[in-house]
Amino acid sequence: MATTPTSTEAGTPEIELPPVREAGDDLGTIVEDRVVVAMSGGVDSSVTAALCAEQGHDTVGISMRLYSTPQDDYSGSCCSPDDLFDARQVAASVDMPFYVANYQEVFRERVIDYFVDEYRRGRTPNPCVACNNHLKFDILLDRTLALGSRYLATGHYARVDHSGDRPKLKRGVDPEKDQSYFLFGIPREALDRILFPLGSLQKDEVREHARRLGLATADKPESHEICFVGGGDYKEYVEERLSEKDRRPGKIVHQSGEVLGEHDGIHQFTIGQRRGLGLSYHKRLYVQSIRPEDGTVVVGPKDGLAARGLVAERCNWLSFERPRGPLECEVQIRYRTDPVPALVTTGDDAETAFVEFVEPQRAVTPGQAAVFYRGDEVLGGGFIEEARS
Amino acid sequence: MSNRIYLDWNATGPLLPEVRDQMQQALEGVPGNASSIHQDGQRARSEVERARRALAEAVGAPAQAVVLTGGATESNNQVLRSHARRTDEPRILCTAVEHPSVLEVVEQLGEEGIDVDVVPVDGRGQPDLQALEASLREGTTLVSAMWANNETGAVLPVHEIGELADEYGAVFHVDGTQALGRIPVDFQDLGADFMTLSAHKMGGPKGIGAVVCREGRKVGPLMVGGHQERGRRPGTENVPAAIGLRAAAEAVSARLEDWNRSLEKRRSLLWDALRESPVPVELRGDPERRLPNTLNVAFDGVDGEDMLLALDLEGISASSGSACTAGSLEPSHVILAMGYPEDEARESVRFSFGPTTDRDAIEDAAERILSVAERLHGLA
Repeated sequence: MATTPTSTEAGTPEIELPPVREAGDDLGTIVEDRVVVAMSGGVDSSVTAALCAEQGHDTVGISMRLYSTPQDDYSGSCCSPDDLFDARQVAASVDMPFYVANYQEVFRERVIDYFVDEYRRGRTPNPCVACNNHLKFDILLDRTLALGSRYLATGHYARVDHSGDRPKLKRGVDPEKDQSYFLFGIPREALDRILFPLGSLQKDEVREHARRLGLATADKPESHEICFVGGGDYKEYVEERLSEKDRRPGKIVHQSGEVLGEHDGIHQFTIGQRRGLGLSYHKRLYVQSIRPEDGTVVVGPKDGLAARGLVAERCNWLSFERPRGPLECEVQIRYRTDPVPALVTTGDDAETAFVEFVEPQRAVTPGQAAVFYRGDEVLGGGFIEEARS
Repeated sequence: MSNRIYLDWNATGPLLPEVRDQMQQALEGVPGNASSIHQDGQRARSEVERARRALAEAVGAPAQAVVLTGGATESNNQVLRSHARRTDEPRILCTAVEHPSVLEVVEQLGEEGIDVDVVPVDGRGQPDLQALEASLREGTTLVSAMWANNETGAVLPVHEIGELADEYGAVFHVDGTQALGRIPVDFQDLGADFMTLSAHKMGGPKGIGAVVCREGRKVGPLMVGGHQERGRRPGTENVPAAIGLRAAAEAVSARLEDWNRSLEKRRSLLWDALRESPVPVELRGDPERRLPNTLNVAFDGVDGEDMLLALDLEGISASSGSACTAGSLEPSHVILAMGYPEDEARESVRFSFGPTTDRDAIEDAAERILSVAERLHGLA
């Protein structure tokens, strides 16, 4: 990571509600000091809610039901009946109102369909970004106003710095947990209404708070899988949802041009993948690119072709309406990789960004996010459309 | 939160104080199985029979007519399924605004290959009697209609429907769940073959209800494995619930007229207050033939679910329709059947109250509802 926190404040983060910058916009509709907390049933959002309540805010919990799990599937990830029960139990233990909002329809359209469609097109989707953009920081944020709250708090490891003349989205101080990469799509004008109380904590401290507060979820294990796929394999999940005509079979070709084999659908591949290629070759091979036009999957050695840049689409800017002129910054092209220096220029509408790396980069993966940072601050980001060599 | 106001009696109501007292005594003092021969069993048996009589008396039926069940959903399933099983060429008809425990059984029977039909309703939620008669003419063998609708409070013309059914020789089932304790319910006078009931909408406990059967009409059990209720409802009798049912039924017999009158005043009070709202508000259901305890309203441009959550935060418990369908994205099938488009159907909010809802509560509730409606309308 580019930034490592030099010190962390042990103890309890003070949750201050940010000031209202534009007076009179919706004050009549707001209950003073009320905060809505998005609760998944995990330890992070449980602590977020309990800390808000502990500090005397009028706290309301809300869980999103995003998909239904079959009655006979006990594997539980978020949104399973167990998780909703856990969230409800935490809410009850700190005596705050709690509701379940049913967003299955929009989740299916905006996250699951998108997820399957991206694989169909040979791209690698980022469902967490889609969920943040279309559910948490869109319809759920809207919902807070109906509940009389200006503010939405979530358990993300990121920070919104409300101290300056404009809010700044920043990395969480725990470099292992920082989730700012997934948050670039928050509408700029919404930042003032969003709270990430855990952003100044280390994961260990969050667990400590959970135990101190006696929360039922204190020792709940982390979930890392894609929530709606559950414990299963995402390839199977995608395959079950692809019709026969949507499968794009093709050849597996070495970067030298040699045809090494065939496959029965590009949805099974992602850039940088090594396992499951079904090839025998005297060297380790990695997927370097996927050509949806003819179904070709290009493989090669790990230190194969590096890209000098990329094109990102559907960009959202957080630090300004749009960059004025070329932007020197750092770009992060995957979760859990270091950001690298780059020069970013934008198209006419600022939704398209052209990124030139200072040093060429490998495994530029269409469908993943390219997030632009300056130090700790998230400037904006977009979805990788293609690598440029 | 203290100072909460409970306006969701059509989902379920709190126990009447006398019901709670009697049930507490029962939980401590009546250990026996009503089918056992010993004195503890006999005591339990006598409590069950007292409950049967009290309910029979409250609805103007002989005691032998009453089969105690686990509630109205079970009762509805039992009447419809029993008819389908025992009838040659059954053809089952219900209205489009029935409770899911009727409507979904009818749908399921349809999927199983039985002839079924659903009669449409008009904008007030009243069934189209011509369509009903036409369906009877085509050989309908059972008509199922609710006495009063749980979502809008519309009181259906059950006597007229009964006469039609009679004319064509069809069996007539009335779901009386929402009527009992609110309007006079007289089974003899109704002339239905079966009436289904529940205890918990009128101050009794959850988990007990009944099928009332006209003399000479048979209903078979849903389950097997016990001879209880003369072979019509197997399973050990729920004695504490039966005792609660008795206390509630006795209260209905003694106080229905008072309740009816005061509920009607509360309803007028609430509606008069709500219609003063600067936000345009619409009354849904039948403005004339209706329950005295139910108001279904829609505030212009205000989503019903948003309204319910916001009201809850203000200390008011209300509902957008049947609790059985709440939590789903689907707008109410009742409001849709009345001809409202989906987005308007989603605006419906139901307030329903009971004998212990007092005047102050209604006045207080009206203020909170108005302020929430205004706030949400501002966001729309």
